[in-house]
Amino acid sequence: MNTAERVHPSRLLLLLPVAIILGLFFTSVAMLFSNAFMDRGNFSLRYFQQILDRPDYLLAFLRTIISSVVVAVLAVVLAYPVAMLLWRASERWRNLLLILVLVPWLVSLVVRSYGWIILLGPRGFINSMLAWVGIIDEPLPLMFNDFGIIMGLTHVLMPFAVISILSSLLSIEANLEEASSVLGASAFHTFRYVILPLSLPGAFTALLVVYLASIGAIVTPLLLGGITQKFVGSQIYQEVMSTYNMSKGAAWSLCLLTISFLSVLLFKLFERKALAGQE
Amino acid sequence: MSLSRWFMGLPGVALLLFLPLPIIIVFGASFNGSGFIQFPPESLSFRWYVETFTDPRWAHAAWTSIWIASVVAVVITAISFLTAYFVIRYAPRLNNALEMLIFSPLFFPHAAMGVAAVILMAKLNLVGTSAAIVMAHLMVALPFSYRPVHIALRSIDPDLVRAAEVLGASEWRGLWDIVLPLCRSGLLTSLLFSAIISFDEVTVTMFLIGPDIRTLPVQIFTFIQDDASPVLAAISTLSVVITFLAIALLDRFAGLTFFVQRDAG
Amino acid sequence: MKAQIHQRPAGAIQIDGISKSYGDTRVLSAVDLAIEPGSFVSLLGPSGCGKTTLLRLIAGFIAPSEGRILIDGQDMSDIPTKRRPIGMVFQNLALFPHLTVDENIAYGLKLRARPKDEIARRVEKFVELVGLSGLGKRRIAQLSGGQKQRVALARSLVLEPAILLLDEPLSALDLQLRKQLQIALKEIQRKLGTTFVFVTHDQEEATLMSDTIVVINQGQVQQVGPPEAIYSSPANLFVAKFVGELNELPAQIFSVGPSLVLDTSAGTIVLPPAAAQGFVPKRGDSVTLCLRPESLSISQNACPHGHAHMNARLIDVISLGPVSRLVLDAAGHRMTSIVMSESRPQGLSTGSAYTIHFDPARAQVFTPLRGQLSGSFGDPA
Repeated sequence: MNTAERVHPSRLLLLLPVAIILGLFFTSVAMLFSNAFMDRGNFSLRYFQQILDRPDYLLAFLRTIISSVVVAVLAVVLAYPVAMLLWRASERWRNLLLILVLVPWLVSLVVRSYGWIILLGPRGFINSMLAWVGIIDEPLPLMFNDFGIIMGLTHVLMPFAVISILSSLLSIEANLEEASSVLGASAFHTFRYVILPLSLPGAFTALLVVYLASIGAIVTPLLLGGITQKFVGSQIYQEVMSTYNMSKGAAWSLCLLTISFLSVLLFKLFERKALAGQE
Repeated sequence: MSLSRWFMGLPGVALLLFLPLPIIIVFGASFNGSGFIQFPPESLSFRWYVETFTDPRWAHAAWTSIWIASVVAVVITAISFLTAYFVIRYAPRLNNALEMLIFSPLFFPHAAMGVAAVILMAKLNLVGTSAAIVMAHLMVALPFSYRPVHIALRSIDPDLVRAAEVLGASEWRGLWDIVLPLCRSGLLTSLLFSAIISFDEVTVTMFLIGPDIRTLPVQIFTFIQDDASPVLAAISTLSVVITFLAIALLDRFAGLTFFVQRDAG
Repeated sequence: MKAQIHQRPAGAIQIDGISKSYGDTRVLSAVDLAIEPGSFVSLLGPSGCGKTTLLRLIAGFIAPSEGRILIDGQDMSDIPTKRRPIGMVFQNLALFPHLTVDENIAYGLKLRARPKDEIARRVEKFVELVGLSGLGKRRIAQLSGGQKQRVALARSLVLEPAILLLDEPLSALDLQLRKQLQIALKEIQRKLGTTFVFVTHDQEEATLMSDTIVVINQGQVQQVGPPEAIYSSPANLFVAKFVGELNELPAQIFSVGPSLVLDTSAGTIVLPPAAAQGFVPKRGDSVTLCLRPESLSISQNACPHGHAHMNARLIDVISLGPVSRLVLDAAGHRMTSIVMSESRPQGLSTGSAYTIHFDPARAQVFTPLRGQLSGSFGDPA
């Protein structure tokens, strides 16, 4: 159907607002670039050099990346049963359960991270319970380390994974499952060879987005990791807000961006290979 | 068969209940009678809620978050509407490229976005102003607002608008009489969704606050680091209640389907 | 409608040299057409022939690549859709789903800020006219297909436009409903005197309803004329095949002169020179000999004086009440004859040889189509 409409040039003004917002966004990114290569007004690679020179800085990047991969995998694996539960649920239940997933997702990071502090802290819920029951004498170090950060981030980002996988599942034709079992497949078999592959697009999206959200996180790693266990995000926050070193913050941000970009490329390659036989 | 079904369902249920756990913890801790944060609470008291309502800083921060969220929601929804309308009606081939641009902030690490935002706002001399926060939130909310609006508009039969025009309606009249009423649920989803995102946004916002301007989540964050008082639990709970109300409104008036709808392309 | 145009528009449409291309694809070429005010005109052709494009050009949804359209003498080139004196019924009706029947019909009047009582009066008048009395408060979703059609019609007609454009409005309906609405449409058009421009691919429909048929193929107008003329004097092979059943026999011109002599695989046929339609016959030309089924008769031995004849074998006899259909094979070519059952020869047996005969004056000879066939005709039988 041809919809080649005659466009009155004044209609182009409709695009102006979104152009402004996108313009602001990309301008800010451009300024990020230019700031990263400066040191007190002059062109310099100082802060990039610094990152490469200081082992604790490199460690921060490494920790961020590795933890984020763990978080992504964990979030997606844990999200699967929940997504499947919602998928099987009847309409009425599904709505209710959806709210149960959505509320944690949309409630602020801060609140949720705070909850984790209360749970994992040295005088927190878990430690108090265990001490009360008599299992431990000293509080377990559940916070201010990688464990705490990974727990916190996984939990914070899991709802998105649930929704992503769920929407993939919902797009699977209803009688595919029936067809499979009629052909004699066991429940596990159906899952492994029919449901799993067809829900992969949603899972892959979730993996990528959770990973990216995790490497760029500030609040959760800062609150649950403290000053010693640094994520790139927490370091950036410190540089910009405490020491007011814009250039250093920008340099770190640029590194983070590059890592994101490369990760996306790598991931897309991997995804294409993995999904090659699916369609 | 039913045993294995149960088995498959159990981890799902467990994890499902795991999701709201920290929120429940915070809720419980907010009633703690003693002066430090603890769960389960030693004694029960409402004093932290009282303090929330009497401390002007919290009221100020909450109010700031609410009005910023409202402004952002309305503005971004209007922008998404106009943009999606233009693209669907006049330039459908532009859509893929446009969506790539609109959704690109989603792939940006928030920490980097925050720094980029503060650098830009510093250049514009707007750091520490509400305008800066509104602009930053518009950037963050755009992809979340555009999608439901676009989906809703796409489902409208294009001949409806042409029919209105043949009957004598100007384009604006056609938009108002025909298009707007038919995409109501998409607009509502965008409004509420953007409001929630703005209200709870912290990672980018934290770079943009100043002495005169504080949003609720950023204030909570700052306080957590300085002071472990249960008043935080109370204020957090209230913040959750507001978010929950917004979601309930969304469910009631627009349905939650937009979240799990697969974009047809 | 704001009468910026002329006083009371009569509804004459003049299409001058209209062409429309999308990139390299030419959808309409050099269309010249004059539509009389108050007439029922059908744009007839197979899918993709450009008829809908022409309609949309008249409506103003798209602009022509070349040429111009005039309505009542005024050039429409710079006049947007909403200011043209037209109404339109869309193929999928485009009824406003969030409004009731009454509200749909009243919409155009509300846009023109007519007073409430006038709106109510006019809406009721047209609700009655289209046969929907009592259904005014219904929602669109509660209506049947035929009822929705009528609402779409009323919605446009209530504004009393000079011209109504209809884009295959009946194609989605079942046969019985379609027949009903065809008759209703024709009556309404006669009553109101509105110019109707009706797009269809169904030649029966066009024949039933139109004063004038415009046959279009591959973006070009093939013929314009009343249904009888289109049927009895088609301008070319396409029109002859598209409208009504046709028997075709490939032939070669043997000689031109006092008579047109054709060589066919079924024998030599002698025709008056006027049989050549739309071209100057030359010796050796490859042509197609065409005959309407009702002009063919069969006999066992003698045939009337002056009739041309050819040998054929009877394949089937189908009795359809008052008429009978005879299917024959003449030198490998299928021929259909339609005769009144009572004049049918007795004792016909399939498989036997018979003579097909016809009055040469009723034969038509056309040049073959050169890659001009588009869309499918279906089997004439």
